[in-house]
Amino acid sequence: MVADSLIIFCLTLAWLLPLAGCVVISVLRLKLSRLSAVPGWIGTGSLLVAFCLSLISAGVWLMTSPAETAALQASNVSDVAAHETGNLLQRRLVGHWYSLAKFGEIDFPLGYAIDALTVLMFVLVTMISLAVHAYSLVYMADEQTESYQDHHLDHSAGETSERPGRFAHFYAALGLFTFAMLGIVLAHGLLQIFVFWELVGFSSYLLIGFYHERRTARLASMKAFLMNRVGDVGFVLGMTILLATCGTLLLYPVHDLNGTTASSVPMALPEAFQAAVEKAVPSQAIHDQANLIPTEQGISYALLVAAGLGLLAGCVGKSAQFPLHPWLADAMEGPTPVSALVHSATMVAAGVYLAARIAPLLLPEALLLLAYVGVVTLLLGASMAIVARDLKLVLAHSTISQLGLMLLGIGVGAWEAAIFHLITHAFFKSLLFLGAGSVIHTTHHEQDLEKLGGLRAHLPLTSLTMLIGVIALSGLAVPYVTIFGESLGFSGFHSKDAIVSGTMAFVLKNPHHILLLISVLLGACLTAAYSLRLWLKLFARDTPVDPALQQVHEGPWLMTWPLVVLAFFAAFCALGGEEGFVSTLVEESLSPAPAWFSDSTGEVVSIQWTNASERHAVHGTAGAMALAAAWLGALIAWALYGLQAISSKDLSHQLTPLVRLASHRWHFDTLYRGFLVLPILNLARHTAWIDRILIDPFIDGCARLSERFSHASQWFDEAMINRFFDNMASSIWASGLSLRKAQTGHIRQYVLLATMAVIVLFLILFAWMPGDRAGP
Amino acid sequence: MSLGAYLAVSAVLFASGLTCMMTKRHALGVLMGVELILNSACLNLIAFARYTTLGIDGQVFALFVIVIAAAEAAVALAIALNYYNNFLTVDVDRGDELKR
Repeated sequence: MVADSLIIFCLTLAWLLPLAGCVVISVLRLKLSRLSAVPGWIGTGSLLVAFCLSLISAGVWLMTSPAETAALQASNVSDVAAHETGNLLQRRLVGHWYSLAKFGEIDFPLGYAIDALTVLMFVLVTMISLAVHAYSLVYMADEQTESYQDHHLDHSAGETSERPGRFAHFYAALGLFTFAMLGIVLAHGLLQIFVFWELVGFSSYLLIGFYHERRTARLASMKAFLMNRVGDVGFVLGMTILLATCGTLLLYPVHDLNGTTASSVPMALPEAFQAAVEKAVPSQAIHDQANLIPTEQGISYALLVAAGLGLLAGCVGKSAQFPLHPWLADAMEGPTPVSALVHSATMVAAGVYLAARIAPLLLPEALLLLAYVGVVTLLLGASMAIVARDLKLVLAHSTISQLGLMLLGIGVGAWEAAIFHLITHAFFKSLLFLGAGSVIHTTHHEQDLEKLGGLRAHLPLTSLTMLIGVIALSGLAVPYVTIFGESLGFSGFHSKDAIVSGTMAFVLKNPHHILLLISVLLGACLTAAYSLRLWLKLFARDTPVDPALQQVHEGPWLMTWPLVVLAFFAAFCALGGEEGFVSTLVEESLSPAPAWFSDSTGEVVSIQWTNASERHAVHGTAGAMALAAAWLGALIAWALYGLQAISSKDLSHQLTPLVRLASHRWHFDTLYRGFLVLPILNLARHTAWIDRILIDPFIDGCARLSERFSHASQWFDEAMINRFFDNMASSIWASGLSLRKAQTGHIRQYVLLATMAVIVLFLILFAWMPGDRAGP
Repeated sequence: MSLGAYLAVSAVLFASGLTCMMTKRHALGVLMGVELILNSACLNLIAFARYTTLGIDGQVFALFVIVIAAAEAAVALAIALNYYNNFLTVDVDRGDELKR
């Protein structure tokens, strides 16, 4: 019990600390000079404490063993929700802090749900964010100035190159970003997730548009924001359907402190959804009645699929999946450390994380669609990465493609493999981005791969750590060799294997989806090719291509240490593979598969799902195939860029149409521009025209009319009312003056006057009094 | 003697008091006029007490008037003294400051 409340306390504090840092920096910013590095140290310090707290809670979590939890559960103890699922014991702390609103049965509380995955994600997010914070102390140091010279501005477009530095602004936004992501991880209901989901979107908008003097950065931040909103529309619709059918948005049941029985605990989404699915009416029957209103029998099956698809649309937008992927490549406009954060642990990870959390709410149709979306994105991203010339762009497209792989994992039902890959990917992708940032920083913002090259001697540490990252990303390993029972491969090898074996088991049971397996293997091949190409281009030759790069050297320790630490984790975090530490923790915390999951109950499609043991059975074969594909890709890259046995120019000539298509990013931007942006701009222009022609004159007329009216009213006021009161006042004044003469100050005169007045009064009395005239 | 005679004396007293108040510039003269008027009222009350059904009430009233007259004389003399302190005179016509 003490351990539980300690975990809750630590994680809550770790969640709120980045926000506190953000607030403190925002306030201090007004007092401090722009030259000060204090905001950076505040931000880094808050993250360091948050990281330590996360570590503490992780330690406590691991020390309180499941057996103990089971004993606690048996003695009816409060908020530990442990379900016996097979041989796995799920342990989860769920609770409320505060109820936002309550409408009859439906409650919207703020709360937390902590399980092994949450703790793991906390450590991951705070660690990578800490690395990025520390790294940015150096990388963003040139912002600590009164006049920052921006060399990337397009002067022909009339952009001015000088501006005050925005060091504090950067760290405030970074803190907010981390806070929002931790909020998603900690939340226990879809509504709460959605709030932080939007906050992530907003803070990423701030960071992507950090150099907002540049037109490209402004457009990129807008693009990221709008594309995310498209997905979020789906998210809101999905939530609405779930709220209408299930009556709750909480992902896990909350046990109150008295340890009440299960009957009084309100149902959480998975069980409620399962109940709804069991009662669902075939959509054909609903269609005949021509309405979608829930009947007594239940809700339309199609609507339940739509709920899942809606939530997935949010994930697709946030994780930059086809067809909402173009924003991620443009998001490179932000500072490189931000890219490292966005691409690894925070923003894009949120989509996959949510998809894994809501996996029990996805019906076969939605999952299958997700698998295909993932696979399309995998290939699209890999193909774009292999032709990209910009250093960061290669990494961005690689992220898109890797996220596709994760969603494929969720789509084929291997969601613990997907989250496993999410965690390993976070390490090696942030490592690669920080390495790229190190290259960019030391070469004074050179990002073109053709101009860079031969930097190995000058940047030994960066080249070594990036090699680790590249090997992890491509999933390379030495086959059939083990040391101490460990295969010789870095983290990406294990997690990719898990997804590939999940796909293979799926394909073996559903042979007509063989395309998924082929694409995954092709994707593995391409991944190895483009990641090795990147490294070879940067570091292969001994001397720089560009003589201007002779002076390049490693950055200070704040830049190199994050690389080393991340490289360590990128190499070894997946030790033990699927039986390893990380994977077990992930597996322990994800929801058990719903009952309908084992049999194929889809209405449109019929699918045989796989279970963990089936996946494990094909693990060897799948791993061998994936490894072969990766080695093939690596050899091709080696031949092209390392040995230069084949001229890469000749090859690209042979494949001109494909290369051109990929380097134009498959014309998605053109497509969106033609079909969405331009029509909307046109519509806006016409609306503006209508505004000018019709509405503006009307408003102007109204204004003019009211102006006239007030003029008239002013005249009336001045001529009539004011004059009347003026006259009245002056006449009163005059009469007062005349009466004043009677006041002489002579007492005797007053007496005389009083006497006279009495006499006059008597006279009047006697003259006018009736009756008594006769007298005695 | 009849009521009319008393009333006549009282009227003469009242008229002389009034005239005194109106004509005298000396503050003590004005005060004497006030005393005359008060005494004329007293005489009226006594006369009515004697010749009408007013009875003892009139005499009691007269006693009250005498007491009040004494008090009033004390107050008025104090005023006159202060007046003299401020203006070095007891001419009532010189004290017209309240006019302003």
